[in-house]
Amino acid sequence: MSNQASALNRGIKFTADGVQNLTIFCIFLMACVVGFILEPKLFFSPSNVTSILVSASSVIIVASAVTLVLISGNLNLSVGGTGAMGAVLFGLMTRAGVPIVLAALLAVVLGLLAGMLCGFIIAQFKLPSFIVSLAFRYITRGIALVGAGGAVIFGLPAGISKIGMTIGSIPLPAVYAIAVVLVFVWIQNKTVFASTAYAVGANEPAAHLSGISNRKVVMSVFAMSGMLAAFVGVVITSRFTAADSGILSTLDNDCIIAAVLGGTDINGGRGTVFGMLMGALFIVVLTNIMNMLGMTTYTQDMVKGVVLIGAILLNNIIRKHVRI
Amino acid sequence: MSDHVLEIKNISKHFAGVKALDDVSFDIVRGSCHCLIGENGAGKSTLIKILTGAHPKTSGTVLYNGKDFNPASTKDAMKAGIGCLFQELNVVEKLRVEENICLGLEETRFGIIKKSSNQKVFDVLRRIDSSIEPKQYIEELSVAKRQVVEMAKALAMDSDVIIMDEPTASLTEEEVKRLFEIIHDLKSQGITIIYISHRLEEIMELADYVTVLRDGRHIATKPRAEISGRQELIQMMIGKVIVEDYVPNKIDENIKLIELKGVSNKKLHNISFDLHKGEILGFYGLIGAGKTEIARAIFGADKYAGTILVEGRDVKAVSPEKAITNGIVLVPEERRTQGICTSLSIAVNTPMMNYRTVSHKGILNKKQQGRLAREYIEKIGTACRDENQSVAFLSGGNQQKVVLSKCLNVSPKVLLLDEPTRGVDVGAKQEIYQIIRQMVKDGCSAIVFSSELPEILGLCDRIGLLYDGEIKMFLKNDEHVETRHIMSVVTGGVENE
Repeated sequence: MSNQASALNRGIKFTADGVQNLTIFCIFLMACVVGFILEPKLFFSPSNVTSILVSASSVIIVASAVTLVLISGNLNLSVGGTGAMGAVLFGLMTRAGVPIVLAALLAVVLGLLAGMLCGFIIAQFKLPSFIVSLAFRYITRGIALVGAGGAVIFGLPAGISKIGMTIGSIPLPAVYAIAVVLVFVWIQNKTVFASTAYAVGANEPAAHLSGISNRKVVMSVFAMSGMLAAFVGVVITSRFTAADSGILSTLDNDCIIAAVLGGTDINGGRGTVFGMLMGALFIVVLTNIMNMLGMTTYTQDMVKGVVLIGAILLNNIIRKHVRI
Repeated sequence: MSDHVLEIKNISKHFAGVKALDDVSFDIVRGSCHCLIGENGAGKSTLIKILTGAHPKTSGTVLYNGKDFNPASTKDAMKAGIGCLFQELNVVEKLRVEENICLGLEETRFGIIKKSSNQKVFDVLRRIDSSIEPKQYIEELSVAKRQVVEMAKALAMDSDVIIMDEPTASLTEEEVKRLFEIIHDLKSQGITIIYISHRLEEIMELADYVTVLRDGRHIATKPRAEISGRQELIQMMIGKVIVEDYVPNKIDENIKLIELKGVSNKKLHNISFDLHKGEILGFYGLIGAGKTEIARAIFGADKYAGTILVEGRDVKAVSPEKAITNGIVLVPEERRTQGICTSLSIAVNTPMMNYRTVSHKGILNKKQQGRLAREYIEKIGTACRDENQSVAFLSGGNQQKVVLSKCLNVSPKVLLLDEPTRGVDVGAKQEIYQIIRQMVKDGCSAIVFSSELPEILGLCDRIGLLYDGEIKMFLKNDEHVETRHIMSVVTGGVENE
């Protein structure tokens, strides 16, 4: 009986994630078409494309890891703060004369440790990630503000701008974003670790009884997101040649929005890094179009809110009606 | 008014092809204590759910006070006058007694609760148990007192029928006595009690009438006076146990795979036994007897005092992870919440206990993962579209086969099966038994924890009888096993009755 059933349906093998990815990809394409119709010359010009990539790069880099956090059934609201902390620590170290590469490495490692500690507290004491990461948002942002005296650190060595510069017409932040996304698409698809993250997010008790360590998963995903957040802080600092303690104030939300637009389930167990990439690009393209239309940022925020609700509803409909 | 408060006529209930209730008819006399008994799966819960509006019935009629009764929800039923003390009490722990009582009460004005309606509840509460203070938090109350709160709520809504589902499961002896006094008191006020319990002693003490259900069918309704004793009830409950297919396994008595020595925890008292190589050991007991707790202790999911040896080594089982490394796997009791990740595909679920068969140095081989899933789908006959189908859309039996695939993929030495066929249709049950037998033939040993006697008798070489967290005795499974004797032991009877 089973053989018949499986043989009958051996056509195209869809997965639920596949359908969702296809949907967000189509939505992204439609947005691009709209952009192209509005500004045929400008929209696909190299300068506009790179500007889209650069403005999306911070979100894409950090959300690559945050997507895994969400897949594991957790929330991370501390990435913005961790990014600012990384930026300020990097600034302080380079100003004090620490070699640039070493300073960047140390800042990234500290971001990783902060994330790991956050994950450890969540898993060890079985606390809600929402609250713990919210606390870490204040702690890390606080460290940034204290380190920078509540303002911006200027007078950094000019050499640091190399980290975030534009070579020819190719901006390095966009290159980093593409590289990170590729690595995380690989991690999400090809590693046992990601499989265990899905399991923990889909059904923690079942994962536990399958011998999967919740703590390992949660610590790892938080460590990754802390590391990438600090890295983004370093890149931004190098682009400004100044370390601003107030940067990345909306990163926490932006990462979650990009992931959710891409079909990631806020309750865990479902989602893809590719979907997140499409979600992040879609938001930037949408902003780009709204700028072309001359909308104010206030109006833009309202539109984004409506779009987010639409996306969640669409995801729900897909999940309910596409029985895969 | 007739003296029948409830008349149940030809009630049937079908769940996805399974007849949970099949043409059940009987009447309930006003002001009586009517006991409902039957093995697990006999249809008691389904009947209660129909009476309280939690499930719609497939066919038949219920007359309540002579009128057709079709509650759409439990709230509906409560308003009409049928209150229920569910096994899982409906109280909100974080609230005070008075706030709990007001929940669901209808006497509001513009959404604000009228003070007067509370007064009535407090009067009722004081009448039943004056030691409960309305200001106390529910958390601070014992289970017995929480039940009283629920009862007060039902009475305050002028219920004339109160259903009690296993109310004594977690009460002390003293509290049970008190509950019985309350029941007598309620009866004298003309309130009808429908009482469900596995404890036959209680039934014999309380009942005015007893209704026996078996396999969804009505077996008998008798006045207490016409029942000769526990033995008669047991006889009616189990009928003829048909045991097919039991084939003794090849057991190597010299090799002890698992030894438990004086294992105790919250729920278990001094559990000791050995599992031999090639053996299927069974534990039989009713709900709450400690089956799941033994399985979880061996699997390292719960803490315990005492010693568990695996192949002679003290494992001090700290985690399921370690247990799996030691070759022990568990098919958990609650499939949907503990066994599978429903939102994920069969292919992703299958290697969850052991990724080594589908990966190399932490890198997953998706082709191999698909191949592994397909291999088990063929081997144990999981009916599905293909390996990429979400487990959520499989039937109960096929979901259980996915859980078994997970376990098989570990190549386990010991298979722990907790209620392996709960919620599985008859055909799939037999298939799952075949899989278990085959695994044992292939060199595995197994412990089956079940509250279904035919299952235990059909599979196991040796049977441990559990009651209240203790092993009462071990039996060897052969033609001399007496089901009546077993039922007597697991319902708390004296062994040489």
